[in-house]
Amino acid sequence: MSAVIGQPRDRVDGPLTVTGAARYAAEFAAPDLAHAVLVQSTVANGRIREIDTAAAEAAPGVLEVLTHRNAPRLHAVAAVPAGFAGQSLLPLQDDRVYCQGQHVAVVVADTLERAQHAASLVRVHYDEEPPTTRLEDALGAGFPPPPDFGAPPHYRRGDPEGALVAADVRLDQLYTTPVEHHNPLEPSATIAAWDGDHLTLHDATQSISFTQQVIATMLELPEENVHVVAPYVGGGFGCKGFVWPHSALAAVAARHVGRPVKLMLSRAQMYTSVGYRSPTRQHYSLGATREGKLTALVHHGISQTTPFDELAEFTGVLTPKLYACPNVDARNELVRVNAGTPTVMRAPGKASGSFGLESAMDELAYALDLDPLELRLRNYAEFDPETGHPWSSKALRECYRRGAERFGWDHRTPVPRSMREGDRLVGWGMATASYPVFVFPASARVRLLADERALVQSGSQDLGTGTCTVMGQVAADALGLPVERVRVELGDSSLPPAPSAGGSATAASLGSAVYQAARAVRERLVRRAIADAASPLYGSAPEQVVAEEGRLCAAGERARGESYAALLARHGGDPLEARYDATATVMAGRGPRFSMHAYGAHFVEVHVDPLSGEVRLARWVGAFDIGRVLNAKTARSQLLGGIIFGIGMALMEHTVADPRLGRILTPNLSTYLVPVHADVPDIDVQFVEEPDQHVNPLGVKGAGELGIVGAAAAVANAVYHATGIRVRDLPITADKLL
Amino acid sequence: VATKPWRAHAAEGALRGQPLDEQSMAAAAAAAVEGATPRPDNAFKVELTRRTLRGTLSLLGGLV
Repeated sequence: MSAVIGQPRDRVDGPLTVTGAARYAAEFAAPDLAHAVLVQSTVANGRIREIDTAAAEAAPGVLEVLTHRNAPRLHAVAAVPAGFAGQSLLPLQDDRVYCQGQHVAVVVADTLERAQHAASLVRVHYDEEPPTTRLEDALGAGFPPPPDFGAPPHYRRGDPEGALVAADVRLDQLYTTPVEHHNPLEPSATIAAWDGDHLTLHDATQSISFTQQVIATMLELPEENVHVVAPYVGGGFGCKGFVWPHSALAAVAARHVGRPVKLMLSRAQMYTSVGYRSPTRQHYSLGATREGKLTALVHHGISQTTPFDELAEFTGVLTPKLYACPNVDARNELVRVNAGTPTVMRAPGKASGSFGLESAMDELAYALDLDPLELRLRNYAEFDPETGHPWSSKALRECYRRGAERFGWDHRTPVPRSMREGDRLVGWGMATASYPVFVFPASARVRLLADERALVQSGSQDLGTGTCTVMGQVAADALGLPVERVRVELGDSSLPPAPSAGGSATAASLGSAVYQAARAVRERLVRRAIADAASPLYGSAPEQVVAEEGRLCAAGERARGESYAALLARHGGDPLEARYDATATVMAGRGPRFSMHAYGAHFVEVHVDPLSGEVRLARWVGAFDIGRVLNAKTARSQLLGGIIFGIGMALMEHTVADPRLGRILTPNLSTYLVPVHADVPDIDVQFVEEPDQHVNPLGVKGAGELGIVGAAAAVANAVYHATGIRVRDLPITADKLL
Repeated sequence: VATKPWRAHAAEGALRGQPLDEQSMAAAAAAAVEGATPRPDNAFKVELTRRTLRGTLSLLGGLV
């Protein structure tokens, strides 16, 4: 591959994004656009006795007030993991209320302000029933969830109970993580416009395909009648990964009022309308020999769901794979509460589960009087202990080595409270990161134009991760064109279908399709040249033709050749086009012959004020094996983003709800804190590139979620080293360190 | 502790005429939160207030 792959290129959408020229879902104009505002339930369990909409209907500018009494019936859809809807509960179908913030009415008016005012006039009276609002209140009523994207709910090998009894050293602890919300910069929004029985949706989504499929099913339309557009998406982190009721309500409202309708969630509604990361309880029992070899690993994780859906936070998903241990039991359990359906959130199961496992490993290291890094090396999994398969590649040992060296881990004194800087306690902690490879079928079309420009098209979406930029590099490399000559067009369901931007799978999935389609164009170009008596390459063997910088030439004889433009011009100037449908599927790193995981190691320094318990991050070194790096800048940004997400998880993020009412008390960014620049230390991201011939043609393992895995544990472990206080319940707020 | 600064008269009283040392600072800190009736979720603020007051007095008095 040429030098363009891996180059730290700026995002092509960067100038558009920062100047406001990039248009997001809610920013499209439509003639006669009306505005919809949701009314949401204020009880967590019960029935709607009465909805008084008279005042709202009489308010100025109001076009329609939809409730379960007059909204159309919708066709059933399956919720993740069985389908692609965020929740199976359809909006405005009956009087039943299952959770706070459930949509109970939609007000449509000619302006946003009039719709908001009218929405405030809707009066809803409920027959309340006592809710179960917290996971802790539903313990004992757990059940096994369905498999999680290819991972079983319960995994077992060996005799973990026996091994625990026989172990020299045992650890038995409970770790918990709270409700967390995604909070992308761009709130979810949908603009729906009908033309006869054809529907166009501008939707803030990680998957235009899922929006198309789910909305078509709900509204009983042929899929081809639903056109979804999402050229730019302002982050998602999972909350735009599946299709939520508000998108359907925009379409329903638009049909009702006979005008295009925009429905944008408020920041507060983002806490009740598009899922959240379930809280978890993770009970870990570890057994080890005196020498620090793991002999038993028992995990029991509990997460919550609604009364009607079954998506679990699989905290045990990494447990069977991360370390070599002969006896393992990893069980995931689900309980039902009166809260909205949780959803995937950056590294679902892995981010939360690694907090428990990697904290427990740190505790075990202290119990054994062993360096935490040394403990991990003594239990290094040379092959996948769950499946017995070899890894497609695994450079974790080099990640440990490089990260420790950059950090200066050797200089750590192990005793808690033994390191100081001024009046601050200094703590050094580390943790392992791992994320399974996902690959989904993806299609792409590549067109080489007569003027040596190329167009790459796919119904994928760029969430701000750099997909357009990186796919341009992949196509330029395969076509032998300067990268500036390649334009990438995504985010339209009329383009060749592509998967959801989730599972850290886009670079691998879409990259394979773009690469193969571009290679096919290049091969056709070469074939055309060698068959053309007018070409200087006439009669050459295909493998003797080199394509680079827009020129075909003979290998070893660079002067003999011609430009793509010259060749295309002789053939009428028509573009050359190829489409490739990549069909490979890899779920949860489970290939037929290889196990496929990205890896990494975090090394973290915290400074803790012994008086106030304030934790400040001083520096962070992360070394990562993501396979081939396609763009050193956007890949680094992905890892930085994951780590910063992990800093929020470690120190700040938690959604607080009233335990009696279930109502969220922190539905905004002034009470639900996320890291700001001042909270983020210098982060040194290192890539350890080990060629991977097995994972996919590009050798890519995925970067979007890896950085958050293990991040919270690394901070917690550093806080323990600084203070001697082991915080097992996230987030690590100052009150827990007094 | 509160949404606006409060003058801690009792803490001042505990310091008045005393040398600034661990004992007087502890007494002032205790006086500042005397009678505080926290709820379970903000109980930490009582201890945090004591510590903040001791830390601030140490800083002002040149003890650190």
